[in-house]
This record gives sequence, structure tokens and C-alpha cells, in this order.
Amino acid sequence: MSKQAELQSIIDNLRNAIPELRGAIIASSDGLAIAQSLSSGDPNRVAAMAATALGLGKRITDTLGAGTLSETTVSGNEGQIFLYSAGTKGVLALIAKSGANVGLINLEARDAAQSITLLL
Amino acid sequence: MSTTDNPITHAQELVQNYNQQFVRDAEKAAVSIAGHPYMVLPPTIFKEVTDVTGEDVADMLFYRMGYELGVNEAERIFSSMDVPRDLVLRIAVGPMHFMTAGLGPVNLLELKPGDFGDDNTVLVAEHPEAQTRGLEVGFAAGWLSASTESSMAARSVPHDGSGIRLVIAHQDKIFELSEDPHYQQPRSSFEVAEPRPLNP
Repeated sequence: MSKQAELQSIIDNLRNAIPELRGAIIASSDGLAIAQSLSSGDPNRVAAMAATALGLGKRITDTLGAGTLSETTVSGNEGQIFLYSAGTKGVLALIAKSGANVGLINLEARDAAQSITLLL
Repeated sequence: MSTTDNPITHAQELVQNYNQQFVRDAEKAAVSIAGHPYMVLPPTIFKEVTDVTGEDVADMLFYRMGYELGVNEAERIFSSMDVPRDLVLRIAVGPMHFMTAGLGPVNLLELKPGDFGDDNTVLVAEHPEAQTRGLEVGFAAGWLSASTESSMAARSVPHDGSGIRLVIAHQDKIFELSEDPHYQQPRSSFEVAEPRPLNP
């Protein structure tokens, strides 16, 4: 199985494990979409935004002496976007509706981020 | 052989003719080339942005900026200079225009034959005096997108020389193709073309 196919299977497994997800995407840290399952939005633009948001978070934690950033969340009144660092080369972004099971999302996504780190 | 038989020479002439239409209008505080408005910006702006956002984010911002610049400049020049729909010529005009704009030299390392569509066509280039990592990479992706009328993307890859080396391919193929260790080989394993713009 190619690396891209393995990464796509991680996305598919996440969508199966967390039915509340509206979308999931794996991006390279330079903002390219690698694998995705999105119900809306241009994957290339979402990948660039996810990598930018996580990169900016890393810059802030570095500058303010808060250590290494591992994840961050962007919340709106109709949904949340969970962003996880997958090593130095990747980003995992999950999009969920408001009120989704955050515990389950974090549990599944952190495991997935580790697997992505190993693959990348 | 006439100059138009060689795409690099032809590209040099096209870009030179385009830049000969440079006009600085002090009355309107405006600069234009071939009737299209331009701005002259100092390269220090790249450092200012990078200081605030960090290199990774700056690279992505500059990539988007470079991409839009590449697409728009290509469409503008192809139309203004009536550039023939010859893929190699249209690609060659890109680095020539990039260099003439003062953004630094570009070397072409590899262009596999193909149409950049469903095949695995790849263009490899180096910017030995890159101002940023993102602008050059984005510009190449944008220029190739306009030249091929397809969605292209580019990535910088590790290499043994100075500046940046970038791989350009179809958006759906770029991740897999750019991971190929072949593109990280020493410069000596490529047949390097070093096109340079003509003096105005």
C-alpha cells in the first residue's frame, strides 16, 4: 500500500470512529493536502489554512516560552476545528459540529497523529 | 537556426520586449509594464513578515502570494506578448521573467516529457539565491498552472547546494512525486540549464 493510501485509511478510520465529524484532512506542514474526507471546502485551501493555523500556534508558543505545541482548537458557534501536530512534517485537522464528543475526538485523533508521524 | 527555434532564446526575447514597455509615470505616482500596473517593493518586507509569523507560516503565506503572482503574471505576459501555445516556451518565459523582476537567478534541472496531467511529468528547478522559500515555490506552481491550464503545485526538497530546489508537478501527484529521493540527488547528477535574461 502506498504512503498516501495508508494516510487515507487513517482518515477513513477516523470518520468511521467519530460519526459526528464533518470532515478530516491530513496536510503536510508546508500546507499541501495529502489525504482527506471533507463534506465542504476546497481541500487545498483547508490544508493550507490548517498548516498555517498550527504553524502560527507554534510560533506563539515558541515566542512566549510555552514549549512545543501539540494541538490547538478553533471554535465557532456552529462548529469546532481540532488541529493536531503530526511530528514536524504533518498536520491532522478534524472538523466537528458544536457539542461533539471532544473526549472521543481527542482520544482518536492523538492516536492517529502518532500513526501519521510514523508514516511521514 | 532562428532564435525562435530555441525556447530559452525565444523566452529571453519575449521577456526583454515586455520589459522594454516599462513606464514610470511621476504625475500619477504609477509604474507600469505593457500597460499593466506594478509596484516596486523592497525585499526587506520578507524579513519583516517572517519575524512576526515564523518561517513555516511565512513560507505558506509567500507561497500563496507567489502562486497568485505566477498565475497573473503568466496570463498577463502570454496575452500582452501573444506568446504561442507552446508548453516548453511558456514554461521558459517564467524563470526569465522572475529573474528580470530582480528576484534572483533560476536554474532548470529536469523536465520530464509529458503534459503534467495524468502522467508523472515533473519540473525540477533551483533558486540558488532565494529571497524566501515560499515565494519562489508558489510562483513556479502558479506559472506552471497558467502554462499548462491545469492545477499544479510545487514543494521545496532537500538538496546539496545553496538556496532552494523545488519540484513542480500536478497537484494530485506532488506529494508522492516530491518524496522521490531522485530529486534530492547532488546537482552533478542533473543536466543543469542556466538561462539568463538578456540585457535591456
